[in-house]
Amino acid sequence: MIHRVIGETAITIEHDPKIPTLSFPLGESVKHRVVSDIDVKMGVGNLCVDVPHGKPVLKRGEITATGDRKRIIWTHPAIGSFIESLPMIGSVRIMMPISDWLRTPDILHQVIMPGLMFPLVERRIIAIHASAVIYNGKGILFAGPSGSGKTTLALRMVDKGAIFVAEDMIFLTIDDKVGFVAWGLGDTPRADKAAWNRFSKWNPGKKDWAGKMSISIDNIRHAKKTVVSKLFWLGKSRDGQAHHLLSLLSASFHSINLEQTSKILAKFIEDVGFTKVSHPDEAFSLALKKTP
Amino acid sequence: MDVHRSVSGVISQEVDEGLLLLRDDGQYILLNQTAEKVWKGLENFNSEEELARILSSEDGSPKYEVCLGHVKTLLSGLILSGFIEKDNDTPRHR
Repeated sequence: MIHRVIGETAITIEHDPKIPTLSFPLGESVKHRVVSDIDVKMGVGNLCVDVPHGKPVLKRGEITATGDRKRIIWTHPAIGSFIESLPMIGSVRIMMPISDWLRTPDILHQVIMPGLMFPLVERRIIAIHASAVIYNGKGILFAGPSGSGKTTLALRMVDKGAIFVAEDMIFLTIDDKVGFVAWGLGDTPRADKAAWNRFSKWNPGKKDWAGKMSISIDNIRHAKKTVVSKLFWLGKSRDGQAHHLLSLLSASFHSINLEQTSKILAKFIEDVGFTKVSHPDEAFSLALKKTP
Repeated sequence: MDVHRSVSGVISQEVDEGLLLLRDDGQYILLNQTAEKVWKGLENFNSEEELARILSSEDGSPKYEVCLGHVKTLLSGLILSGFIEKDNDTPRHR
């Protein structure tokens, strides 16, 4: 049994005893017993079930989800099978073939977290596709589509003395006292050499499910969370608040709860801002500039 | 008198430029301030004629007949893009 805290939400992850010990990311965990807001049951399944009727509710990278609020089937072409989750408030059940548990270094990012997004959004915690660092005491997010350079930029910032927060999936929520707070899952397989090396034992090709290679460096200083001061958008976007909101929605799991997600992101743009850059180098030089 | 309603799953978000309508399949449309007034009128189950009357009652607005044409055009566009549908079942509030 594993306890984790995502924001203020305590999550207990309990796996079926039939599943061998999993190599979870190392990040933040709670050793003592906590009362969970969300219980995750991870089971073993290799059944062929019909995809529930309904339009796709989420598509991100290779993972597609279809179904409704009560029952969602996650599919991934690489595993040729399915992940079933029942994303009800307070409880998520994730089932997949046992052989596939070990095919990713990033089980939390790629398997468990998508299943958790529904109950997290209900708690006003949203996730966006971004990386985050702290530089000169200020939290900086780099957001954009896959391949736009989010992780690379974060690591270039680390070379300049920034503290790494997370990459790929960034959680955002509003703290009434300090503003928008961002954090990751504590472990960053693509950026952290030790984490990637664990994965390479099972996958000599060193690619994760998204087909990405490690760009890890040694001795990353991690921070658990940061108050966000700036966001750089690395993709295309037209000017204006409406287009900025649409850009951030495209990088979020908005289909889970469009209304809640758009409200939070609209406030984010209002409070933190949205800086569109035409090239990652522009974001890099702007991020290094001292701001008052 | 035709009454329209938003289709299920459409949400609205106020932005600097007006009102952004979003559908859960990723489709979106941006309404300017005048169109936003029509949208808010729809929420009160106003008919096309009532919506035109609201618009034409403001200072400097075009005549009622012109506003009615604008309202009909806007509503047709919203129907075509799947954001509203005709609703002749809902009881009128007045």
